[in-house]
Amino acid sequence: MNGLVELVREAPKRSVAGLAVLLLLLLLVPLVAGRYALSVLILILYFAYVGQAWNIMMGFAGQLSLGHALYVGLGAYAAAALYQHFGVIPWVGMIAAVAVCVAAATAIGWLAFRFGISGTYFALLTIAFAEFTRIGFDHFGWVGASGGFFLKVAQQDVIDLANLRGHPVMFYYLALALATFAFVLSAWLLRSRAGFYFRAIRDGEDAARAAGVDTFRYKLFAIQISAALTSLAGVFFAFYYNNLFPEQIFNMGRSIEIILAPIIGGIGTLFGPVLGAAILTLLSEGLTEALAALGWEVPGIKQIFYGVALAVAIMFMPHGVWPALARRFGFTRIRDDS
Amino acid sequence: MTHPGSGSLRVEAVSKSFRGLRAVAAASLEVGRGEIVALIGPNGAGKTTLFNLIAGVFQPDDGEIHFDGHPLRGLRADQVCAAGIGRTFQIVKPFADMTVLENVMVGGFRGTDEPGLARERAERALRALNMAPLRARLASSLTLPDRKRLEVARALATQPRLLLLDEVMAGLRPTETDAMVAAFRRLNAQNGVTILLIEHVMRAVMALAQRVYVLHHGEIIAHGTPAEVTRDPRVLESYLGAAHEG
Amino acid sequence: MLGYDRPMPIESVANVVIAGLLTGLVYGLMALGLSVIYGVVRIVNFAHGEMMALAMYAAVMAFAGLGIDPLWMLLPVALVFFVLGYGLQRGLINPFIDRPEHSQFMLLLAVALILVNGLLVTFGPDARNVQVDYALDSMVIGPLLVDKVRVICAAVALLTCAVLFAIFRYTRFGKAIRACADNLLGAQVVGLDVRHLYALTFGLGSACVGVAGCLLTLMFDVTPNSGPAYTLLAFIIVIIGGLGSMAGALAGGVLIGVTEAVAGLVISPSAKSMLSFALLIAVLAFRPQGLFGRRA
Repeated sequence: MNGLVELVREAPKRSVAGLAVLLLLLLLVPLVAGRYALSVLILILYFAYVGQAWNIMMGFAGQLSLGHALYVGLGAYAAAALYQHFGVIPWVGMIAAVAVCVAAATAIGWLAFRFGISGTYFALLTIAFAEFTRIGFDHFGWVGASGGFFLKVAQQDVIDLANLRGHPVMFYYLALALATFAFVLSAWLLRSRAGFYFRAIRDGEDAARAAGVDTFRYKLFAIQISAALTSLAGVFFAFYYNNLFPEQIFNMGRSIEIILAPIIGGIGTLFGPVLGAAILTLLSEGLTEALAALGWEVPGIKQIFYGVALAVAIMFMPHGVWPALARRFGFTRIRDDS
Repeated sequence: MTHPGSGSLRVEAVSKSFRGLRAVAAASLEVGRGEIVALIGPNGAGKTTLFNLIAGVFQPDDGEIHFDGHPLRGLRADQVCAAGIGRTFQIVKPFADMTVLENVMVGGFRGTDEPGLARERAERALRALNMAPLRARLASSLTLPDRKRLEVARALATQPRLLLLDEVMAGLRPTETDAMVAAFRRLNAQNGVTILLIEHVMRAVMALAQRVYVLHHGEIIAHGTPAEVTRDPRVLESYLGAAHEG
Repeated sequence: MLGYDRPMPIESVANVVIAGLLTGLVYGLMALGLSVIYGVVRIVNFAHGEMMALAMYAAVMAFAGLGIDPLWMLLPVALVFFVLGYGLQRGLINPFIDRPEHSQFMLLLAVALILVNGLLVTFGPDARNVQVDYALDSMVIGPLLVDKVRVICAAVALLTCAVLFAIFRYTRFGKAIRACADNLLGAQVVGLDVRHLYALTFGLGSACVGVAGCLLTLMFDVTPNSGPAYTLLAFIIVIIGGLGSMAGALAGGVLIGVTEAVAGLVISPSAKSMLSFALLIAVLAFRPQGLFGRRA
């Protein structure tokens, strides 16, 4: 708590003011937003959240994970299975979700970091684990295997917070809470020892070690936090969409969706994932709507758009959209203070 | 800032080979608490390897290294740092995407998780090296001499009892060299930091070092005061000989 | 892909293993392209499998539309893919070669994404295949019964590998490419046009992929999702065999081919790739340089 107060006090005034205004607007939006707008906003907040979680591992600690869908899936299935088979409310199921994902992350991280696997090899390892799990769940009968796992759906006008059943507005505020939480956590991390150590590892492991950083332990920590946060996104996913298919939720395309927002917004920054999520979702939804209006309902167009967006971002804005914007409008990143 | 009167190093007959190539051969040296000792020798003599052995980057094939009486065998590089040894790298390794202050704060967090304390230590280290005005600059935007000072500041922020400095004077102008020498003298006198430095810049060696070891082909071939060592025919031979070999 | 459901006698197990071996040689050719590109240009071609899917679709369309046997498409596809690969490297990747490692990887990831979904949009999600007259013919070699198609494909794959090997060994530009791989700075000092050579290498690797694609259409169906699956397969093979090693790519391909065939027999057919992934994880953990690779 003390740290939080200091966090706000040390941040540039403009940034805090801007964020406060944004938060206020987001809190009030459901009063005016229609159903469709609300669903788009939920998507934006979801990708902002999950992008922020991935950003901790990549942007801060420099470890490229291309298999983050693994944690979404594991979290989703864990909470959903406990709910559907044992009636465990998702708030408790969340604990299981986090536990499972941290265990998986620890296994992957231990394997990789003990044996010095890094860079592209590490990315491939994360892909392999995700794929392995996807195929595994295709055969996992207890949760429906490839046929899918379905949660019983209740009426939508009754808000049952305990069981996370109800109106999209409830999910909207949940998503907002998650996104805000991730943002604040990231900001707090950045000024904590872990945040400094992560970035040191990212920028030079040898030098980090010489300065006293236990690189193995902190890399493991980074992947664990990232996985824990991502698992909550999985829980949200399960209770929002009410159906889970291994082919979809563990899909590599999903892993790529996760990384797009931070890359476009700006890896390693605080607001980048949020901005990137907004840009990406608005553009892709806009595209889909425009095509639908023209009568073209083509599956795959959205993904092509993602591919083009990724390519453009890498080629022309490797640092993302946010850094340039921040400088332009005077929202310097919190960690730039002197 | 540091414990006065500690930071003694004893390297006993340490050897290290890489794929059959002998880098360090039964080298022994001692640095008493509060001393400033230099390690010199022609290029390729194994000086940086010896530093890496002390700092825990590699483990010696033979021999023992003791710091303040405690053996360093088996310790990782970060554990050696926690034990009280700070080091710089010959080829500087700044954290490019972090500011100068943040770079040094990484060192400052050693043994603590309080950002306030880390920052205090970092500010002090920067002041000791006259780098305070640069604190908000991105490390990647610094000139080479400033990067070298950053390396030292970062190592200093870890509150070391022994500093291993690897060619920190290289590329500096004489005035800058003198400033660094003065800074190290202050640190040594006021805070009792023991210093072992690898150096080619003789001006700095003569001004700073109380004793000098000479390494050639991985072996210590001479040891004494700067004056003694620079007159030693074996030492001169090793430099001239190395020049011919090169 | 491959899979049998009934329990089988020992000769049939041997047949399965042989089939896996032959298939594995074609996999090896595919992986060879990846390995060559990495060995020289030091780029991890994340669009490798997607390019192969493209080649497969080309062969399928040629067969469906013009009745051309994929074997006759080998040369044209190889040439087209050579040009495509050359262009990709020269036009898209070269300009960003100074960027950090992740950038090229991600750029190719983007290309992969566009390719997969481009195929999806163009051809739809249904599986396509080629049914040649001799598809079900078998040859009898001793006690073994082997698919004629597989033998032909394996033979062509080996031939292509031999051609590639000869190119690197005996031609001038082949030697120049090897020089680049061994000592980039030296190559530049000597005046080699590195960009051109890199592009040539990517072109050669892509040509391999094109050939492998045509061959595979004779054995398997293709869907847009085949792309990512083959990319992963290629990586598994190359990592097991050793990045940058030509022999390793072939050996890895055969190993994976046999493993998948046997796994399809012993475990459920759809779970057989799990074994490949498990192998990958094991190799990454215990021998990251692969069977034939040099420690980086």
